[in-house]
Amino acid sequence: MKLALLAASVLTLSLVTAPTVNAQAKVNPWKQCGIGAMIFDDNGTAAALSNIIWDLGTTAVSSNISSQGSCEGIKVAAAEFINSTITNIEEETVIGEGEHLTAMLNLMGCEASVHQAVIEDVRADLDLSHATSAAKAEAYYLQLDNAVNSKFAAQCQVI
Amino acid sequence: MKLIIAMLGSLLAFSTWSASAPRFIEQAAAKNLAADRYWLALLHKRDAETDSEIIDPHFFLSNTQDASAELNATLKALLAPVTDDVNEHAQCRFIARSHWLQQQLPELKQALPELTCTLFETWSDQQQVDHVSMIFASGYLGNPASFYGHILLKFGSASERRALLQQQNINFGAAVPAAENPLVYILNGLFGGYNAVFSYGDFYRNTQAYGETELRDLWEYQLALNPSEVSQLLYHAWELIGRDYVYYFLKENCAFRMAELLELVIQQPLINKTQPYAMPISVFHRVAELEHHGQPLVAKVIQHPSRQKRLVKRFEQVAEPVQAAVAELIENEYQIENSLYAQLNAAEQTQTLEILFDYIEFRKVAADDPQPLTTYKNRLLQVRLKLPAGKASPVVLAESPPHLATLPSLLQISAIHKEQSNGLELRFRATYYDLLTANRDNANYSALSMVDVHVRQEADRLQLYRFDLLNIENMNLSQTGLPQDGGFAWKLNAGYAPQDLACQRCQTLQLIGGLGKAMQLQQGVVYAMQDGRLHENRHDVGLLSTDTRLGTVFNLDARWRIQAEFGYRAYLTGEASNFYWYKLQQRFGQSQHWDIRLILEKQRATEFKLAFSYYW
Repeated sequence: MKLALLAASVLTLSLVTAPTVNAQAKVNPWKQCGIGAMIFDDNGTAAALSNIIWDLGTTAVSSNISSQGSCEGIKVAAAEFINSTITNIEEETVIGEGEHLTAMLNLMGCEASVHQAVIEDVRADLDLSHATSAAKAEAYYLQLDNAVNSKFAAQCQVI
Repeated sequence: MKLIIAMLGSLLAFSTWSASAPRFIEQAAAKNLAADRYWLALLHKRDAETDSEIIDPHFFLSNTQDASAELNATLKALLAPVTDDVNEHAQCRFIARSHWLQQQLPELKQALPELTCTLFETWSDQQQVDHVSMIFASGYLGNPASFYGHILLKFGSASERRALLQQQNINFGAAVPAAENPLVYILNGLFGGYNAVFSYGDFYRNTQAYGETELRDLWEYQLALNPSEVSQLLYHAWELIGRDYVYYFLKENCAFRMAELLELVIQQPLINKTQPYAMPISVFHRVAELEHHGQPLVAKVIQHPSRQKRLVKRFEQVAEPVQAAVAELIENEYQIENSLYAQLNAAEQTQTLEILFDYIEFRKVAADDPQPLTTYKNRLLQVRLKLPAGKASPVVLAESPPHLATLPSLLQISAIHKEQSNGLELRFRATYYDLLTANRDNANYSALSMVDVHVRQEADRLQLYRFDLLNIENMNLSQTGLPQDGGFAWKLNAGYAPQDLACQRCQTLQLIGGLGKAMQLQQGVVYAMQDGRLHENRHDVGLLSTDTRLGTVFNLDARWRIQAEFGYRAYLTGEASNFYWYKLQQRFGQSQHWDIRLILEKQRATEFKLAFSYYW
């Protein structure tokens, strides 16, 4: 009986599991994945696997993003990174280099050989008028994503 | 056809599982693996008889804490066929257990179902981890839980697509509800009222939280572990993420748990388990003195400076005209036109702007309304954008790493001479440093101590002479001289102490709070403080008094520091008369383990003390 149940389970799973759709390019993580809103999913698994910063007894920050299929993956990680470190990213962009830019472009899937070119492209048209960190981060991400998709798509592949 | 293959596959897996589990359980019993120290360490049991320190039932497959039952249940679960979610399989949930058991039972590997733990592979970046670092977040006086610093573990990747800020780290801390009542927070923290877990995150979350928001330096100690040891740590860290422990602030804290995790591969004690308290810095003192495979355990120490440290160092390292331009721009609300800035060359202009970026972000940390600062910064970013792209100005740090500081716990013996009598004093201080402690960052001039007990033999009487539960003095110095850098000096003391040096059996419970201002000198600091004192009314001292203090702390040499303090005590509510007092203290020696102190103090009576201090 156990065996039959097991076999039935395997069969059911194989029938209902749909292929994953990669919808990275169409996603605006701010609008669709809760970035900036700092949504925190409180169930046990999410708590275990979410990125939580603790100190010796005190919670500092917790952030979590929606786990919808379209919001998983490397570009959302880039968006989350930009949202958290936009202050440093802006400084490094106007200077022209820095470790936050390297990490950001890695998260965008860009080869090291095009990092400098992407930075120059963003730097050439950087909008520094936004008043809040959240607005700066969203604008920066959209500009970067647009530059990567339109000019560096071959060298910036999401794996 | 697919259905038939799936059914046959399941049948085969089930029959293999049913047949092989008892065989491996027998083999494990024959080797007495359940009593092996490594197995007990993986279960976080100090010995076979005690319960695991992990209280999370999901950590146990046998629904018991018994090491043997858990081993049998683990073997069964490892051999079980894969069901719906591969990541829920025991091979993926308990990777360290699985690897160790495969080493102990050579035939086990071939009997295990083949699978790929996708969640673990993603988390560990396909296991491209090539080194492990311990991270020390320096102490932070903004939160009592952070006074003593913090430990993290970082997994460094060999992949160039995983830069420093993307590297994975492990953190241990208590789950504290938001907006917790401070008293409840302290009581729960001290007496086990919170659960704690290991969590993970990318390193940038820590550089942001500690370096940018709390202005704390991060010190990275890269460990010389071999690839097998790195893997063991990675596997076991994965098993621990999200598992509940009971949290105790004083002992079973981040220092204790991280040390315990590292001991799994270092196989040497990293923390004193019998001591009633555990401090992060003690683990760093310990790893720095250890050898592993005939080499120093610490391969490299790297400082990741906070925003404030970058500001201070950059400002120190630029030429005077740049410093003047920075100060003028701050004074004139960052108006570039007709400023000293315009007279600088391009390289100096770049330096000026970088210092101002740091300065504005440093100011924003304490600003009630950061909006004006953001507007100023946007303006400066625009100015920098018009200059050519280049490299950021390097920040030369050259600071002494934390493990070279004086050790945190103190035992001191003193000979005392008074006008009427001589005596001896034995002092124990659990933690951490005072204004005279050697080998600390000279710019700080602060004191932080807890549980400081003085027992005195005097006039044929042994007595508890003084007990300070807590003593903090923060000079809050300006390190650049720029506006809003530094602030009021402050003091907080809670304890049991005599009112002066002349009275007998006149100790009272007391709470002291002080506020004042300190100023940095070339080799020291001068300060003026006003203390308010709340105490028991014994010997007509009333409940309230004040101390008005003027003082200085300065170095004559790295081995010789002096503190001189002069004050006036005023009793506000009692009958006791007011008096002037002074105290002159000197510390000789620069060792991490000892110093000699000479103290001359007058408070109605005069006392001279010669003390030998031992630190561990």
